[in-house]
Amino acid sequence: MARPAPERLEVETGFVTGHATARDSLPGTARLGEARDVAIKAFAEDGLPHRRIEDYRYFDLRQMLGKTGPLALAPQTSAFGLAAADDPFAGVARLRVVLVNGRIDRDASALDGLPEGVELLSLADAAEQDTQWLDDAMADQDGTRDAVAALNLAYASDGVALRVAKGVSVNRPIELAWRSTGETNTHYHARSVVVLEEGASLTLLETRSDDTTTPVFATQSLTLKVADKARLTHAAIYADGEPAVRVANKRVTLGTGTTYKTLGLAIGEGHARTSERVHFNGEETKASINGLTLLKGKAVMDNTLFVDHAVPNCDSEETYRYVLDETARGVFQGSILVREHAQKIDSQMQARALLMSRKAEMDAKPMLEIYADDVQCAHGSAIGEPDQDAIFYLMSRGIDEATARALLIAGFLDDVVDGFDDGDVAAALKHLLAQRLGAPDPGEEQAL
Amino acid sequence: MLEIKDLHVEVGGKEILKGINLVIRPGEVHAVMGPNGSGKSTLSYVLAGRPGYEVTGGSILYKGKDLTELEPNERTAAGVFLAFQYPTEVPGVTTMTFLKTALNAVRVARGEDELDAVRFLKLVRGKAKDLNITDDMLKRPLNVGFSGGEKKRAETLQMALLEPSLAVLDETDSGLDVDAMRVVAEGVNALRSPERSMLVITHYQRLLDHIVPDHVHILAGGRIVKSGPKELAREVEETGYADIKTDAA
Repeated sequence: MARPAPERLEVETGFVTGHATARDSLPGTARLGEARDVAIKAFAEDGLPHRRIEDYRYFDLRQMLGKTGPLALAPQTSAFGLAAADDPFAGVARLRVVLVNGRIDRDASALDGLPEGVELLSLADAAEQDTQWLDDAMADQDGTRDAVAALNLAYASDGVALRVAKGVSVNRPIELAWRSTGETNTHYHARSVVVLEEGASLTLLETRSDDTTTPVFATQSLTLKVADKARLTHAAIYADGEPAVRVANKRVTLGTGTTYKTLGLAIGEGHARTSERVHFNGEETKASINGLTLLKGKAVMDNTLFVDHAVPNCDSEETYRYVLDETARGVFQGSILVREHAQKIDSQMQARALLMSRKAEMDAKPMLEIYADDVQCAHGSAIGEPDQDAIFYLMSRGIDEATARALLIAGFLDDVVDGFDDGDVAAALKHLLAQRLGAPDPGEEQAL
Repeated sequence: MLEIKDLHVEVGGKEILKGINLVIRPGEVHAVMGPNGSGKSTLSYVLAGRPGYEVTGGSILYKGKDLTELEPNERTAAGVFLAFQYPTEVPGVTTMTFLKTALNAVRVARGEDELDAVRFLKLVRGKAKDLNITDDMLKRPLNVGFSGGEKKRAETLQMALLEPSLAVLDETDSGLDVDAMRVVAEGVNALRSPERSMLVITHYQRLLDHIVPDHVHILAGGRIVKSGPKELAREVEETGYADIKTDAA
């Protein structure tokens, strides 16, 4: 017997009724319009995910948005003053796309000198043009029913469509800078697609921050398609504002002989979730998937990860570390599936957390599901406090206790950055961490 | 320099040091020898101020002031340095960043100016070279994956940079082969001066062939049971701790 439909919250009904009004102002072909209608219908049936949905067990969206009432679709607006302090990758020579409330702001972006073979479109424009490669990428769902993904498709107003042609190495990283602004309770949804063709390589950066004091709910969908022998490095800094609730759904498909490295650093004050699904579709592929979370206040970061080893002879490393102070909460749900014929898989998943206060909370749920017999897979998780012996050792060298702790915690996180990358991007991440922790900047001596 | 009077120390509610008396004058090198469990490491930790090492009786005066009132970092700034038997590994913190942070913290506490990156590097590279410490080692995370010899050389480098008045060397020879011990001992000997005192804690006499002490004390059961000139170390080597004739208690 079907369970009776739960009573809908105002915010949920608002999403459904609001769609009828917003529909015609949203970009896209007739075909996309139809897909949006199907999506909002699915959302109307499911409602917002809550703690009884296993995937959202530690990130109860229904509760988080329950009291906000109906949200208005965020207006199109231009960039507020982007201060230097709001540019953590300032030291990295790069191209930059600024998106305000989910829409590309061309004036604030810096895209001069986009190399030959790199195509960068506004999703809103591309969706009107009926571009075949984009349609293929957008349609590439993996069959999971996800109310947030449905809401995202129903409402997506813009995003970036980026394609790197066969064999092209993009010499400068490309940053997607997500910013919110506004004075009313709003929601917005963005959808981006990055396609690396055979042998291409790219470093993709993302930054996220807010200039708003009112609730904002945003969803982001990011599809990364890495074709054979291509290399993708992705580093993201999530510095969400306190009233923000953000869900990012990342879907990654990896071809044969590819290298994929990603690191998401969460330092915000809001409630954020990144759900990443990585599909190994070709052999001899390596993935390094990392998450660093440094939170205080009432901030929440949920990293939910699914790694699908569908083919043999691949390696993956999943490393997540959390430093949680005050009443901050960290979530790690990591799941690795090794399918029946996927022999010779080496997969190491680890989640560690340092709790800096008695009221901080860490929920960790690592899982391995293995159907092949010749594999090396392990997972581990540890939750503890900073190492007192190490603090004493550092203090015995003249370093005061606060600095010793900061140095130790920075090291706990930098350790993962070191394994991820050793260039400008890594230096920027370490600099940001040192700044946040009041620890000495490790970059200074290395630069000489 | 250092005056320890009737020192009693408890660790986890158990009394380990049961009335230590020891006076070290400027420029003197004292060796404390003793079997396992005699309280050697406890003595070194209590001098450095390790949490959990509680002074329950007696006093430690350093340059005439009560050392026990200072935090570990304040002791270092005041000139007390402990070279650890087992230096702690600190992942993610490069040796270079650590050294610069430590040196500048101590310099500021001593009323000196902070060194910028250029002056710091010049200083550290000069001292590192004498100890066969490569740039590569300085770029690695502190003590992580260091061999026994590398750890002890790194400790000696820290001592050379922080220029203590009183250096306490806790089992500096442990985990070292003869060649590695010679390098470390040379590094330590280079730091000997009329103003600098040293307390060398060791189980074996062999280190004292390289770092020759002015006085030797035998620690057993939480007390110094015998003191004498450097020849006492060789006597221990020949007879073992069990047969040492103790001074009248």
